[in-house]
Amino acid sequence: MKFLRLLLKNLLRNKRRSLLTVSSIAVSLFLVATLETVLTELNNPPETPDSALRLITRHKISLFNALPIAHRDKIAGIDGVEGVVGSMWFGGIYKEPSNFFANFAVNADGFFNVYPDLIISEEEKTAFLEDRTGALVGKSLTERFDWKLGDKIFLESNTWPVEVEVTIRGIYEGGSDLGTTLYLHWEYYQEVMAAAMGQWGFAGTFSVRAQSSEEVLRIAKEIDALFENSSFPTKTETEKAFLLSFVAMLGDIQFFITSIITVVIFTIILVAANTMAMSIRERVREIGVLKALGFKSTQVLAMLVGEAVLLALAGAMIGSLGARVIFSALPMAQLTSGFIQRFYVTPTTLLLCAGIGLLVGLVSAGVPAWTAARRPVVESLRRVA
Amino acid sequence: MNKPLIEINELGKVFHRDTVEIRALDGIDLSIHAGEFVCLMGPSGSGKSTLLNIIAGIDYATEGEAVVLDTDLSSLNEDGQATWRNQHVGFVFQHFNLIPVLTAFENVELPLLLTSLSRKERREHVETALRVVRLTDRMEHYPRQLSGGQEQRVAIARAIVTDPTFILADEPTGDLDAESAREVLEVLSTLNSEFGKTIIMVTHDPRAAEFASVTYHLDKGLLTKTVLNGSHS
Ligand SMILES: Nc1ncnc2c1ncn2[C@@H]1O[C@H](COP(=O)(O)OP(=O)(O)OP(=O)(O)O)[C@@H](O)[C@H]1O
Ligand SMILES: [Mg+2]
Repeated sequence: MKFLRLLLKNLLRNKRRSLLTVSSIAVSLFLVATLETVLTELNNPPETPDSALRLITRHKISLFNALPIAHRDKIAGIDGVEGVVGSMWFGGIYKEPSNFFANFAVNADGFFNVYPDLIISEEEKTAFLEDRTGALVGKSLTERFDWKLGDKIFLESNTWPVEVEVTIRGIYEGGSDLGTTLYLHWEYYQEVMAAAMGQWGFAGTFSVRAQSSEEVLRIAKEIDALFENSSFPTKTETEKAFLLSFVAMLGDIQFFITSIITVVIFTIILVAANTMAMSIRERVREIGVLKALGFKSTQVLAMLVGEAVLLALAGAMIGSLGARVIFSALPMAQLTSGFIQRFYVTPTTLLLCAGIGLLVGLVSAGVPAWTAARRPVVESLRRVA
Repeated sequence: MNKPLIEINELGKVFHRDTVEIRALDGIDLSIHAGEFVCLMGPSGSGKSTLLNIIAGIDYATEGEAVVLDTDLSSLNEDGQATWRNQHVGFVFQHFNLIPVLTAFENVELPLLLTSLSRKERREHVETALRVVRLTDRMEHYPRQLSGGQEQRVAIARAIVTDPTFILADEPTGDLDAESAREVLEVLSTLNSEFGKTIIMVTHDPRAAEFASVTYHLDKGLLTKTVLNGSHS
């Protein structure tokens, strides 16, 4: 501890240089923390006790193959199933394509049984259920578009050759999408689709709620077994696994992000190494003096490396804590049209950034500090400042 | 006569630079006793600094031996030499070599950081050392705020703060004007006469040599002449 003062004073020796180094490390680790959070969030979709009870059934071949709505009653007949709703991506565009948000046609009856985690008043629930052209919208959406109950919303589908006008009957909060979705009645959707295409009667997925978590896996197996030999075989997985399969669809994004992080770390090591090498080169003579006074090579080494570690750690903390503060203050769901629903820099990410700081400090100072600490005293003292 | 503090026998030092051999010291025999104020003189390149560095344990001989305080310095490893220097040697350099980011107080405190002294004890030692060089009023000043003579006196305080067995000074007045040089030499002289410190000083300056009790002359690595100063012998 008594050496800390010397260490700090050496750090402040060239304030501008130290500041620049800390800043560049901070900026880099802000980036690392951000990218790492993207990875974390992609791999950990928001989960509630209710979402753990939910299963998603889709076509065995792909999400883009639809299933007949008749599957709904068959699934509901399985033991331990609390409720089932069919759901179809509507792809409605509100005014302009840039206003993108998720909207689904769902079986309104039973919807609140399957999604009891949505927070909404009883009156609004009833109002939605009773209006075939009613819509249920998330609170974030109403904030984004300045919507209120009773507003009529015109949606033109970019997926189907149809358009609908719905009336906002309920506004919900919470849920695993954190209020970023619009739901309309599947029956209404079915009606406009049938008018446009003649025959219809499909859902993209079924959301199934189990009565208890012990039964979730059994139910998933039974559903898939039930349709195995039909012309519409299914694949059923937990809601979490289903959401993660979207991440898998994003392909090599994980590899891509990890590569960027690696390059960033490598770059800041070079930047920091340059600073440390300069700072040490200027002090060869002083290092000789310290050793002449009785400092051991290892003590000199520890001091020089300590400086670098302190600098890098300071930068890492500023960058990663900065990311945490900034992202928790920003309405990320709104800013990203619901693509990112939650953007939370986790303690694990902060720890990772601190670890990177430590690594950068150790590696950047390692070689020049070792060389300087090992140099014979007479040789160091001979150096002209 | 009692046992000498420093005993140098047949000491030689050869530097190798590329394929050239440079003989810096050749067959030096020398004994230095406790309480002496020794002056090493000689032309540039005669080996004065090399000899001083070997006695200080920051360089090593290639021939013969240097036994300092009953210790053959070549028998100590690097860390052992560092600890030994901290306990027994006080350095004064030509270019002062204070750490620019530390105050006078902190510079003097540096060697004490390596001891087990408490913060309070360190403060007492530093204040005493600064009092000896008459700079207690400059404790909080940084080296760039001091004159050359004051800087060198801070360096002397740093050299004596651990109460070392001897003080080694390599041209301590080389960078100073006559007035500051005299002050520094008076401080060294006081340390020798009043505090009984053994001092070995390299100098080019004949007036500096007048403060010493004995002067050795080196030439091309050979010890050529010994002068005993009347006032001390
Ligand atoms: N590291 C080294 N490598 C090669 N030669 C060296 C080295 N150190 C000293 N020498 C040579 O050894 C000889 C003695 O050098 P030294 O520094 O001891 O002289 P000096 O008497 O202190 O001279 P000055 O009065 O100029 O300081 C010189 O010829 C010098 O060039
Ligand atoms: Mg010299």
